[in-house]
Amino acid sequence: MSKVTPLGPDGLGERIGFTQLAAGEWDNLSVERRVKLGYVRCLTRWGRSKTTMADVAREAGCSRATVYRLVPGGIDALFDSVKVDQTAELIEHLWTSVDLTAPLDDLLVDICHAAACAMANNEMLRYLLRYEPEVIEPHVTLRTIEGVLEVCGREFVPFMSNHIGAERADRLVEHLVRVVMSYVHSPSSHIDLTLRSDAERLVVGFVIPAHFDSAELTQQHQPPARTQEHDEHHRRTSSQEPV
Amino acid sequence: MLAATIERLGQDGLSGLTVERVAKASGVGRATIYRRVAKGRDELITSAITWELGRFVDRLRAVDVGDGGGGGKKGADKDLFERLELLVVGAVEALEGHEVFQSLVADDPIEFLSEIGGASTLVLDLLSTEFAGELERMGVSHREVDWAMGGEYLARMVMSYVGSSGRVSLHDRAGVASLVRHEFLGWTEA
Repeated sequence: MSKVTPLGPDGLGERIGFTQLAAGEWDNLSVERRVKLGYVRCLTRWGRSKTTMADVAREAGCSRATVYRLVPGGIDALFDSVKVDQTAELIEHLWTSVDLTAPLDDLLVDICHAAACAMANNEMLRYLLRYEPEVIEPHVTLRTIEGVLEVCGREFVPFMSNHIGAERADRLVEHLVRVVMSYVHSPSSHIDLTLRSDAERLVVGFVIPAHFDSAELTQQHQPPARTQEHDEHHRRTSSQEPV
Repeated sequence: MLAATIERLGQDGLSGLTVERVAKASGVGRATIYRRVAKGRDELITSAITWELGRFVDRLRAVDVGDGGGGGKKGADKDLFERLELLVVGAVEALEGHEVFQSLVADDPIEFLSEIGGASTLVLDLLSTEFAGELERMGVSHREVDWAMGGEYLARMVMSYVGSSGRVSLHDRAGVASLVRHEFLGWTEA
């Protein structure tokens, strides 16, 4: 089993969304970066519907005029831009937290598991999922998933292409993104991707057969049965207030 | 009343819809509407959208029963691959042809989604149950995947791929066939 490094506070600096800043780094950021990360802070506190450009300006320590100059498309354009940036930050975390030399099936499981864990621990996403799930609704159109697909494709497809060729890599990455977004956004009683055993069941059971013959994989793999870990986790979480 | 609400939503959008306009379009009094939806405008909109989504799911289910596009075979005789292909094609056409849905999405997507949030979960549950039943009926078996898990997976993937376009064109029958055969049902042949 590959090792997955969790994304968490290292005791120094600040985590804003998926972005980890070192102590004192905020003051050295460009205005544009402060605007974007300031917006993430606002989303974490108040959500999308209650955040205004004035809030973003105040958080970023600049004027509203500056914010509008940097983001002429307004708050919707800022949200789209931040979505792309934060997706890229999440992917950066994934690159550093999984073992890229692992067999491909393990790697795919680890990526899904790490992504789900990072998203579950992300304060901004937790707020949005709890109070404004429509903002990151992955099942209905409205460009929600397209920007994410574009970033993930740019980052993962070249790497996967080394294993399976560009066209197959394209479809595999899209499939994985849709799977992760769906199961993280809308909890399932069957699969909890924050449990590695469940991530393995999903990826090995559904995703890998969609793209590979079993003979292609370097390591034969059987999906694990529903585990005691899964059932105990669900018993614990079902009695708790949802996040 | 619900049909009139949908009709007015297409013309007025979410922000422009009023109970008065719905009353006029449906030929009933405002009091009648408030007797049925005590919370007024917001509850009326949510009820109408939920109702319309339910009709949409029923139309998708009807793809199974009909024999259009199946070479004359009745729905029950088609295999799961063929039925899913027809369902995806039908869902894409229905979504793209639904003028009210398209105008709401274009005008105010986030507010529209906040209205249908609960309904989206309902659709997921409905489709999950539907597909689980299909998998059981077709006798699909898999080492470690039960019908409920498989049905839910299928529902999520159908909603995701139909709901937002990706690399595979859903207007191309060959593209749909490939998507169904691999991403949707590749696991059944493992």
